[in-house]
Amino acid sequence: MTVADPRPVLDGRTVRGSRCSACGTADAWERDRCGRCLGPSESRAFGPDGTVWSSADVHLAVGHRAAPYTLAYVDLSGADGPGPRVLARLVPGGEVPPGTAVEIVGDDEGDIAVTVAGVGR
Amino acid sequence: MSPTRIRVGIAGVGTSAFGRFPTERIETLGWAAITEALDDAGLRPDEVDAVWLGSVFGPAGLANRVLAGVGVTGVPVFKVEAACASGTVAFHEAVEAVRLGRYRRVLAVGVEQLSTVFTGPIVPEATDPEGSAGLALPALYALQANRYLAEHGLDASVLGHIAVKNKRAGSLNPRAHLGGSPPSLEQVLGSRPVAGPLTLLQCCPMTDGAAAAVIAPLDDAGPDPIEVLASAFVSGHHWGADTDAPWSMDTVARAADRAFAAAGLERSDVDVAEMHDAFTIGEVLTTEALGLADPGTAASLAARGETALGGRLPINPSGGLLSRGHPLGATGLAQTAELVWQLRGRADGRQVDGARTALLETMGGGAAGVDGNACVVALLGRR
Repeated sequence: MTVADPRPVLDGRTVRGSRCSACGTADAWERDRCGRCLGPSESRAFGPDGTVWSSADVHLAVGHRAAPYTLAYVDLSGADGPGPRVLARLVPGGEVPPGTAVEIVGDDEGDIAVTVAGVGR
Repeated sequence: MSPTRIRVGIAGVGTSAFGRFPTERIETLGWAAITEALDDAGLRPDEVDAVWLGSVFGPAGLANRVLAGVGVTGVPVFKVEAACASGTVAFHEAVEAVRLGRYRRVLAVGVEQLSTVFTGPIVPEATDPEGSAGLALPALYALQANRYLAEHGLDASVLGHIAVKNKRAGSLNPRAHLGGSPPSLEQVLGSRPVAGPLTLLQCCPMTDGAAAAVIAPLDDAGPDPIEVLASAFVSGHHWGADTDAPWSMDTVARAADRAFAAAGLERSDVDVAEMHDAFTIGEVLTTEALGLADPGTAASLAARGETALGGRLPINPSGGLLSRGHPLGATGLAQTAELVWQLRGRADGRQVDGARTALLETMGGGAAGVDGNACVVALLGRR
């Protein structure tokens, strides 16, 4: 059975999210109430710049992804404060140290695709 | 935490065999565990007042079908799902029900048959934002491992010592799914890569099984009772860009702080521990989050034998999930059974000498954006 795609929605090279005007929490999903405090949230675009929190090569085929592929938790930038942490595909594959600057380059079958900043696209 | 009203004991424990049993009826796993636990407690099935059953992928009606086969009928039955901690949550709820006087004799059971649900590893949940983005469970742990190793400037090979230690202990446990001769560090590190630094022998197997415990007031908890000194159950807060600690650590630490405070015990009082080592990095993070090792040192403690059988604080003398296997909903109660045997001095071949205080911890995880679905930490003691 198919289900609603729960992955963050991309708008070009940014993630369509929201920020709470009460507590400032950034959400990688567009919502009108904050998932943390239920305060009012407003639409924001996060990225394309981000910083790798951690990355790992995955040697299991999962869904459409052939092994190996590389996943990374990426803390996205925001215009008015830090953005959300999102799970992204690092392309081309290969682990990078925490703190590595990356940027969103688009999507790979709906996964957020990031590449090391300055490496070119 | 509310003041203790009734002292609570574990009257009996039992488990099924652990392994892959795709041609067995799922109920038979539960029957084996419950029968052993009731016999151990010296109770008849009609003396059970309520049941909590934990299972993650168990089918509808599972609890009542299991119980109908062992004569436990007509009483309230609660089924709980808390990912890998489902059985431990069943245990916790049974303990609190007795402690508060809601029921007198409560059966906590965990049942899981993964071999009929998955052909390979657990398929990530399609409705979860991260599961849908390809985050298999080993990958979730691999991401924590790489962050932890970088933070402490450690080489990935240190994680292998956890597998060597636990599989050595598991080779002494006749109920372990993966028994046999334990691998060397080279064999652990040289096994097939799964995710990040985690090789195949650093990942728990997919296991079917069941485990059970009978909980009762301490003064009515059978011939050889073990006291539940405290049990704490929390779920994770949000985990995201404002969280620096690897996933799960804050949640484990919160549960531990509550359990130690409620029991009035110090970390140094713990003689033996069973904790969540679904992957080697899990035991490392958990040992440190529990406050049983300084940050960055848990793997080296294993390498030096301090957390091995015969060491200062044996961790996972059963062989852990890495050896026994990880029948999700059953795991917490299998851990409980091991600790009861340890505290009674009946863990033949892998006994921790003179163990009087034991720590039980299980972490259930995976929901995107939260620091774990559930964590239970309990402290058990010999009367």
